[in-house]
Amino acid sequence: MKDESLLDLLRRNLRATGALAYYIGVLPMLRVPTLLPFVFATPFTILFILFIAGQRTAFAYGLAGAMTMTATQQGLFLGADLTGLKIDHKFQSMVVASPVSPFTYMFSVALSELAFATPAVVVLTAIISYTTVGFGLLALLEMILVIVLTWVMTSSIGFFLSTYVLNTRTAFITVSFISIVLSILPPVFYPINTLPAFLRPVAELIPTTHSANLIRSVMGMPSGSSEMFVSWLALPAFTIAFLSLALLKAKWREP
Amino acid sequence: MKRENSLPSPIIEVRRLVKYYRKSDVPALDGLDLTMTKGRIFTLLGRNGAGKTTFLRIATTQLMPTSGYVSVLGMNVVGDASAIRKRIAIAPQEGRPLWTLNAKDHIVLALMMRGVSHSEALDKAKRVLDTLELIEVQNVRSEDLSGGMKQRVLIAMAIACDAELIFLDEPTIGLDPVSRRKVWDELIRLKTEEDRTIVLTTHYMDEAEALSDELAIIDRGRVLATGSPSDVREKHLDAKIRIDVTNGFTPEELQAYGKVVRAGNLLRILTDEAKAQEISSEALKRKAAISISPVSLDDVFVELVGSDIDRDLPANNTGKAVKGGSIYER
Repeated sequence: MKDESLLDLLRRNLRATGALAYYIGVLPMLRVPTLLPFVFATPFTILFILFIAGQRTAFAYGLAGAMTMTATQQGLFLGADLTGLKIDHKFQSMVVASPVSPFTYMFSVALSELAFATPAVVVLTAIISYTTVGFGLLALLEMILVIVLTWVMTSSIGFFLSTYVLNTRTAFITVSFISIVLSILPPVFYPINTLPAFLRPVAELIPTTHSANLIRSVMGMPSGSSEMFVSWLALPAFTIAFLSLALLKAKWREP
Repeated sequence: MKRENSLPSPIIEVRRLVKYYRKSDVPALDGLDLTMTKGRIFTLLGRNGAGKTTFLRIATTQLMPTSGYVSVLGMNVVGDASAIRKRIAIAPQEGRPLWTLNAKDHIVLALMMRGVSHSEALDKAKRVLDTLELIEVQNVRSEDLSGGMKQRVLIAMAIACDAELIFLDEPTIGLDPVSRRKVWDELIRLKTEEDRTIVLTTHYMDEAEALSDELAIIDRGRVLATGSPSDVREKHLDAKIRIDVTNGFTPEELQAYGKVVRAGNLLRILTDEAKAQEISSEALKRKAAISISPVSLDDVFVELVGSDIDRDLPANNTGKAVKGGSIYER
């Protein structure tokens, strides 16, 4: 068998990525658009409560939180969906016994999750740009970068989990729990300085604290006790750490 | 196209393969030795839990062996997994298509995943859909397909690609007899026209007889018999003739003609040609209904694996499970 050139390798991986993302994410979304409200449900419910119960500031925190939560959730859902593909459909068996690498598979299915999140992200971006004075292109690009880093980080967690979890039910329970830990408990929908002082260092150890912090700064809101440069260092560092964990320690082949 | 006059070369070699799953003291594979030849259909026969799927998962680089050596396409499954994966495909056992995708989508996805262009994937998908009689339902979502059609979609995903070595784990389970034969025809075509090697597992003895160039009967992770279907029959069964008796004889009377096996409502005798003549004459006199045929793989399987089934039974379980005597239940 002749060796594959770099160009062929690139072409093959691009086709694999496109096909997996399209057939697992985009096409189901187009065929069953009624699935979309589930993506909106939790972040928009919290946003609605903050809109009704809080002042304008609370709603602004809600917007940053909803955006962070949407990116976080979609990354984590990857874990549950991959577990379903592995256990219920045996699709991962076909993928492992094919030229598709673990990274290509993870990235492709994560892209498919992002496709589901896109309508929610677009709606939230539209509200943020409408309600934020001076929200320009640079702010938009910064926010997209934060969303992408958060999505890569939580997708890595999801992928890592999916290779260890042995049934779909456990996967959904685990993902729901991690979603609460990452996007409801920490200062994602509220400022970090409202936490008791002894809990703030703990909150700083949660990656999504920094995601929300950065989105709030893009929206021109006070960043709380955490300095912006710390969050700009912490979020990529967490992302690299979890991505490395997924690529190096995930069980692509069972022991 | 298949090369003429080429010497058969091993495509899979397995030596002393052992696999223990975590938390289990019982080996799933216990010193398995096998050789499979390029361009042939090799069947693994065995009961549930015999180790067939475990072997397939190791050979397709999904599962690490505990010890032993497995070479696939001349490469070690432990160290050369990436290179092996480019040249194999599998239809796993009990797979399920994705509910929002139709039959055509699945095949196009399976092909594009391997780097095939969209237009080429559509062409290939059409041919495979046609071959497996899925063309009329190509645009129907898999959630609306019958169980047999879903199974054919999974087979189609594996055979549509250009993999030299195709693994099919119980591919025809749940298929009706006509669909099974369609699948058989396609597998034989892949072997003869495209020189592909196919490794499949099955519980169906007729499938193993019809398809296999070589087969292995495995039980408790060990090979009990291997060779061509006729080799296995001749080597592992002294009897040449099988006689199914519907009525007119008691089991005790039949023991005089050979080994008696209870097969549902029938009494089955495994015997030689001379005894078959005798019982035929006696049956004519008694106007008893009997049918005579050559022994099949089914008989070999029961002979080899059935003895283990009997060992599993508690003593005096049925009163008829007297293996070592001459009557036992199937």
